[in-house]
Amino acid sequence: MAQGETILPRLQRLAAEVLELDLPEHELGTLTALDEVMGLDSIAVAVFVVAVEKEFGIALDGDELTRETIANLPLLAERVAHHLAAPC
Amino acid sequence: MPKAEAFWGDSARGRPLVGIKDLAWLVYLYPARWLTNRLPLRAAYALWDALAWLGAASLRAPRRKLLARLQLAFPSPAEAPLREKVATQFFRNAIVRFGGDLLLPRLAREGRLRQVDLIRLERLTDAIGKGKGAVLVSGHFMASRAAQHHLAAAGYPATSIRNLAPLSGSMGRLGERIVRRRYVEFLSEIIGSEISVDDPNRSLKMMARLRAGGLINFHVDAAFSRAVVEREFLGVTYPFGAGGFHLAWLVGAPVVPLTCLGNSRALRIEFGEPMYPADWPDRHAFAAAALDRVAQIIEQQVRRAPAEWDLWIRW
Repeated sequence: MAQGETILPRLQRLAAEVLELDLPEHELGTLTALDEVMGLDSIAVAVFVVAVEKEFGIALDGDELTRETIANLPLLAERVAHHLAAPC
Repeated sequence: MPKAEAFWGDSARGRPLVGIKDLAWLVYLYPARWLTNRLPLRAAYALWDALAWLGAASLRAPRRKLLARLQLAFPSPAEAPLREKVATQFFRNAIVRFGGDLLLPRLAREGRLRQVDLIRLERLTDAIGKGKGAVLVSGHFMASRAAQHHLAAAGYPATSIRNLAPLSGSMGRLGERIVRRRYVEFLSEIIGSEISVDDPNRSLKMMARLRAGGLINFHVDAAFSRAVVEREFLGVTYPFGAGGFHLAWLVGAPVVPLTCLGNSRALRIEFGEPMYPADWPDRHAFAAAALDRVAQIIEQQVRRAPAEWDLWIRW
């Protein structure tokens, strides 16, 4: 969980950058549910997935490729932490 | 240049509770389906051929609409005989296709899907061989569903990206709620693997399918995605859906143009030259180039066989 907490800010920054969210720096920490921030279209979610995988050097599994996981940044941070902890 | 209107967004307001089309669809989905599947195959084909002749002669208002659309694509006075011929053949093809749809599950069940002409199949196998699946991009041709069925039977099953409200705007309010659902279920039985264009997870599902080495098929000539791009097409400014190209670039999956002609009795499927995303610097450039190529291929095919394009009276 501790690793997930350090990952979350990176995901928040990445989301703001990739999805071109107009958020001031001090509000980035409040960004947890992408669906609430914008009408996230289907391609934008896929763009974000690819950016996350590139940022962390991981490949998300097929069952993780759901909007419920990807748009929920704390949950996504846990999944990323799981991948980073898993042996190659 | 006239602009083609957007697709499929009709409101239910102002429609009758039950319309004549609701009854026609009920007849199609129940007694016609039952009969078609119990008749000997030749008799079933003959029945639908007869219905096609009768139907094509009686559809006057849709024919006028079709002729107006054909006038945009084939404007020369010298092409008037062609427009008339295409208008007649279009409705015959459409009705024969409805019969063919009813027969497809039976043909598959009985192992009677005929061998079809698969032209340049090596283009598809080369694309799949890169290990990132492939996106088959086609247009709405009368033979599309038969082609997908035959491809699956030949070992190339593709997941279709589908609008699950295909009859919207043509039914009464009751039909909209009841008959349409039955029709969607029927099409799902024919098509097999599908992803709804309204599914919020559609891109992620497509991504997972491609990463598993699978095939995705979408029709570019219906603008479901938000990534709509307009191109000149058949004499109008036409909205194309470019979302699938963006996704192909993100996954690294090659795009393979697919064209098909005919019906469940005689079918010709041709694969175009694959386009590999790695050859383009970003997804926007790739989508623009792929759309240009595919739209050109589809327009060429529509001009070669105009009575085979399904969307003349849908925009």
